[in-house]
Amino acid sequence: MKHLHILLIILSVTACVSTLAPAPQNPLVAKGRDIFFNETFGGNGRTCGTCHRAENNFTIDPVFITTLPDTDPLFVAEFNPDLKENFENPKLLRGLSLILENLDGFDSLKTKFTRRGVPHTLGLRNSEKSRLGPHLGWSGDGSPGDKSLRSFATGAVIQHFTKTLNRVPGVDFRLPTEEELDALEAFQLSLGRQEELKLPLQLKSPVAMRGQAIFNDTATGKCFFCHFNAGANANPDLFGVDAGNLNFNTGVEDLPDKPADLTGEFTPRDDGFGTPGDGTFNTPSLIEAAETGPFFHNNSVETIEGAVAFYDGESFNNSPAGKILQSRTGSSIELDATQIVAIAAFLRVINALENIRESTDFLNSFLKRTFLGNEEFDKLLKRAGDETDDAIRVLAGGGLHPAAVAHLKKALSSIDKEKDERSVRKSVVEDALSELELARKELIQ
Amino acid sequence: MRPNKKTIFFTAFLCWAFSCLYAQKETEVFIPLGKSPGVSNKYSVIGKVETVNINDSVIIITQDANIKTCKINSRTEVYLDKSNLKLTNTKGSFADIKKGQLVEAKYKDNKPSDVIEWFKVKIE
Repeated sequence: MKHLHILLIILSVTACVSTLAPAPQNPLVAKGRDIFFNETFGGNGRTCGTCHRAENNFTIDPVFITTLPDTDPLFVAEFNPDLKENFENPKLLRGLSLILENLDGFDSLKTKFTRRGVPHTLGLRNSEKSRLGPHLGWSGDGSPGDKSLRSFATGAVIQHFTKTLNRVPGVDFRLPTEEELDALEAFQLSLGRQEELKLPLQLKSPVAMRGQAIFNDTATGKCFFCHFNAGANANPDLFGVDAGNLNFNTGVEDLPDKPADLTGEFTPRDDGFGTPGDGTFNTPSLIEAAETGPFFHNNSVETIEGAVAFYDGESFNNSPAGKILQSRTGSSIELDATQIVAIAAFLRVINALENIRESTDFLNSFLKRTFLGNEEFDKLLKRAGDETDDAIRVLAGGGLHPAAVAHLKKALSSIDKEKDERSVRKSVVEDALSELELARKELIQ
Repeated sequence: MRPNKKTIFFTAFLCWAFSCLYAQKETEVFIPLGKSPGVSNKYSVIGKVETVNINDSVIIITQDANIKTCKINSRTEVYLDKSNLKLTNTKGSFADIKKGQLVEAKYKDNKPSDVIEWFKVKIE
């Protein structure tokens, strides 16, 4: 009887996975993660993770912001008297998740600034390079030094981490060291997709399938000219091999009734790339788009359907990019409501597929105890849950794939049961993986 | 109708041309001399000012025993590095560059034959 008891204990232990962390596979990535989320560089308390939140797809939005305490360093302009003016506008930060950037210089802080959303940092490995050199940030000119992703953090510390507007290194902040820049680059490159999609995909939803066809069609959607394979890179057949990530002036600044303008708060026109700007902005990837709104550099459109509809409007079709498209294809972009929704459905489905891929990766890393280091080992289950929850929201928000949503909810329920446990039942994680796979099979052949 | 490749390439060329002209350097002013990430000691030269000749668009600096001739133009920026004085760095002009000062000069397109994109002048 005693032996049977011991055997049962051994069996129950082996059926669990300890949350005690094994060593990460890539120590440099793990070091970068630690710096990204914890290092304030002697500044005002902000870290890179203050705006690029792991649990919110490495960005922030107004709904997420409501979950933060007033003491969060995101709101530093509300409690640091030295940053009360000309640093952030709390009303626009809280209400529209717009942050302030002095991209045209720091010599006239009251009048020379832009207000921009926080771009996510997912899939950067696919889009950090272009024939024009690195294009980072919303207008592609966010990085000092050699303009690379590696140097980006130095500019971010100076812009966003400073204790006062004097911005004196060694007093208001310290600059990242060479080693820290290496680690931050490695961490950021490890986030999200490591490969581009290859369209077309054999999607099961006829609406999403039609959306994909319109997306890739030279006569209707024409989206694939700038978003090749729905990513951030330009179509190599049109722009040349290695064109990579380009800038375009698509007329977003000409949209009427932009939410920031409607608040009555002073928001100067954003002139995009350079000083003075040339009106162009950087092309973002669309694979992660459905979960990372609001859209465009100024968060002017809330929904993915609205973002697609932008290209059917006057602002785009009268813009430099719109005019070139018209002159070369013989027509402007004309989309009806069903076509707009179809393209958005396609984007929702590919986003959900990416969520499922990430969630599956996190769960497998946890089970196999071989984690990259871009997430803490004991947070892998939580991150898997976040990604699964994103997939549910992205699909349900478009009324898509209810059967897949049901599987995803079961997966999420399993993950939620275990994520805070010291010893996680292996079978429950395996159940979640099975449900994720069933959900995936609902979306794609 | 398929877009004409020539036009698209031309558009891309224009983008490229403008990119070269308008590379971001706005936070660069706050980065002390010798600390520019990916640039200092790689695509820049640090030395003492020997001669300033604005009329000929040339500033000569000496790095150890070597003489470096730096070509300048109206787009070359001058940044005054006051970080040792614990003061805010500011933009300056060629008039702020004097013989004997420690400077860092960054080549525009990372080639020593290029025009200088910016000078950082150490203010002590």
